Amino acid sequence: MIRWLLGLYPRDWRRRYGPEVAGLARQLLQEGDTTPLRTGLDLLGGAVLAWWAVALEWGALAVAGLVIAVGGGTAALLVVAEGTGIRAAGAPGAYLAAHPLGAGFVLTEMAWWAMEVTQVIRVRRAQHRLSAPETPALRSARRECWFVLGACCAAVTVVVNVIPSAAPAATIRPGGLVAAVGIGALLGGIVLRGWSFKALGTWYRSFTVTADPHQPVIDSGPYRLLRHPGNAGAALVAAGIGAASGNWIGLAVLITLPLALVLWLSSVEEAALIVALGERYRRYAACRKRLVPLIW
Amino acid sequence: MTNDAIRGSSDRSVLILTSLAEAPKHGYALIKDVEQFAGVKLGAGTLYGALAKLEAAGLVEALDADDRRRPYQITTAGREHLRERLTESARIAELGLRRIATGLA
Repeated sequence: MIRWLLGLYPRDWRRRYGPEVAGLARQLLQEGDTTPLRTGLDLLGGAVLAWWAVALEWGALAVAGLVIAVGGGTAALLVVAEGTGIRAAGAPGAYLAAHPLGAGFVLTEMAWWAMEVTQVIRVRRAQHRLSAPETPALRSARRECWFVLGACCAAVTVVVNVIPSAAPAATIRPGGLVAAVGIGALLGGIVLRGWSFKALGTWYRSFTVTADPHQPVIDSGPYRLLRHPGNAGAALVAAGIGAASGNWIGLAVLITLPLALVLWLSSVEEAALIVALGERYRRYAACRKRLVPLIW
Repeated sequence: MTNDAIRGSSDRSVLILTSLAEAPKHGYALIKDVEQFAGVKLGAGTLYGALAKLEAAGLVEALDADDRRRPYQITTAGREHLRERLTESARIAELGLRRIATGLA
């Protein structure tokens, strides 16, 4: 009965805790501490809670996936509409009106923001706090991070919305192709960042710089290959938005500016992690590339 | 935090952390200790459901298994978390008792 009930638990949970739970349940039964009925109900309740935890863990990605699917579907519909000449006119702003995939981009971008906000909320709701007080170096890095990130976001928003109409000579042709490549980069970046959130869980604190001496060194998911997959995903998202501008200047700015930010942020994070985790992080970092698999 | 604190000592994770604050324990010893000091009988599924959450949050960690049983110990972050929870619970308990006393008077 115990083995059958443990079969109801999520596989990873069962692998990690199954033998211990089975051993303990048998011992409690042998010692007369509980009855088979109570054990059955308890294990059943445990299975429900274990699946609930899995559902919560995947919830953020599921939400993002849903919006991406809606965004992708809308983009596909717009492409079809463009082909058949029934595209709706008068979409607001250069960003939307510049190309047929505009609405799809905006929806996908919204999915990205939904995922980012969900992660921030998840981290805030997490029970554990940082075990060591923030060092002065980390505090100033965090403030710099907010300042640089804010400036970068403002700059790229202006560029994406203003440059296509201000510099029409730099329009990329064919527009449809570059928009498709852009939406691919955007989706790729979202998936990479979402995967990084899942691998690090509540240790992934976006839009800030933190390092805790007690945090584990994660080498699963995208961290198997890269030291900063979340940052690589952010650079990819920005490049995708740059392509969405349909303008060479917009694309160049959206590649270089976020890339500079990501390189700076990665080096600050790495320095903080080496100070906090020491040899554990050095060993991990020694055999992994920073942002691009097998290259750098 | 306040909602968490109101759950107070009946919260399973607080009971488990309180037990582990004394010394590392394996599952059976944990159940017996919690039963002894709180009068709460935890089942195997309930205990490991809570332990899994605490381990994922970095509040407890597993030690090497001895004799097929794996002991768990509280981490520094776990101690700090427990201190915060109990301090908040104690503050609310003290306030509640004072108000009851005032109400009776």
